[in-house]
Amino acid sequence: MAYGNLASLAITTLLLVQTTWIEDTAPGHRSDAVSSSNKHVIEITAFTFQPGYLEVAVGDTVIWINRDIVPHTATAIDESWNVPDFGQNKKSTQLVVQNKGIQPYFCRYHPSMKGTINAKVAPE
Amino acid sequence: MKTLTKPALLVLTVAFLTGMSLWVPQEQEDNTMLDDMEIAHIAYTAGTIDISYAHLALAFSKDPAIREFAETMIRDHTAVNEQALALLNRLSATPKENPTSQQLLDDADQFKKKLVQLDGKAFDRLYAKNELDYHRFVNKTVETQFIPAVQNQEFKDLLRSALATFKVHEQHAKKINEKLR
Repeated sequence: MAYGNLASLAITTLLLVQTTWIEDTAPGHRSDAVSSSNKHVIEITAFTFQPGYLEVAVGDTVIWINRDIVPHTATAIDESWNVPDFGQNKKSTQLVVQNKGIQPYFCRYHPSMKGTINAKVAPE
Repeated sequence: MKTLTKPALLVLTVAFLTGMSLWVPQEQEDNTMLDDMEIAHIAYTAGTIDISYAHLALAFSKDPAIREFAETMIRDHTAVNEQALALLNRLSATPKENPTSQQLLDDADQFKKKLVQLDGKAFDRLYAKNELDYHRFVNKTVETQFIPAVQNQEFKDLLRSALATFKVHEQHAKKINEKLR
């Protein structure tokens, strides 16, 4: 295998394991409070991720706002990442996306809840 | 708190299915009046009963799907009940004990005595079947009787949100039952 391919594999692996989670436990965050173009909001209402499919760039921030009355998670189907229990009643959690690719996820507590993040490499 | 505009009474009966004792609550129209605080007591009691079933499941079952479901029941029903208590505190209101709540508790005690006699797949199947039947019954009661009858708007809204939660539980229980066949 060429050194270039090895380097590429190493970088890809690094991206996959460096997903960073930022917990925001302050209640009351609203989607209209997000003004930056590299922030995306997914609202949870009536056990549904909205939008269910979201395209982002690597490095963007995804914010989940839970408007249900019970806690939820956002967990990658392949379990490569997991946003743990992020409370209820408008509590929010955010993630800086560092791994690229199509990433289907679900709520571990309520497996019928499903969503997808498609992370692409940001143009330079 | 005002009284119900449409009278309703829950009557619990014992159903015997496939040779096993299974306590399935059933509803029946009657002229008894229930007010918001009696409904609150029944709803809260129904939640605590399902939490108690879930604790038994965690103590007796080794099936990961059953255990995950039980943990979700504890987490969600606790969250709903905590919000009900917070609302009651805000309203300076106190839930009222009533015969329906007591009957729910008595029947739950009988069911749990049966359940703990079982283990392995037999335990899992009975727990899962009861969860499906119980949520079907509660959801129908909340949707067709409690929500239309409740007078306080905040309480009505909470019941609507709770119903959305319980319907997801019902579907979850249905899938678990299908896997256990």
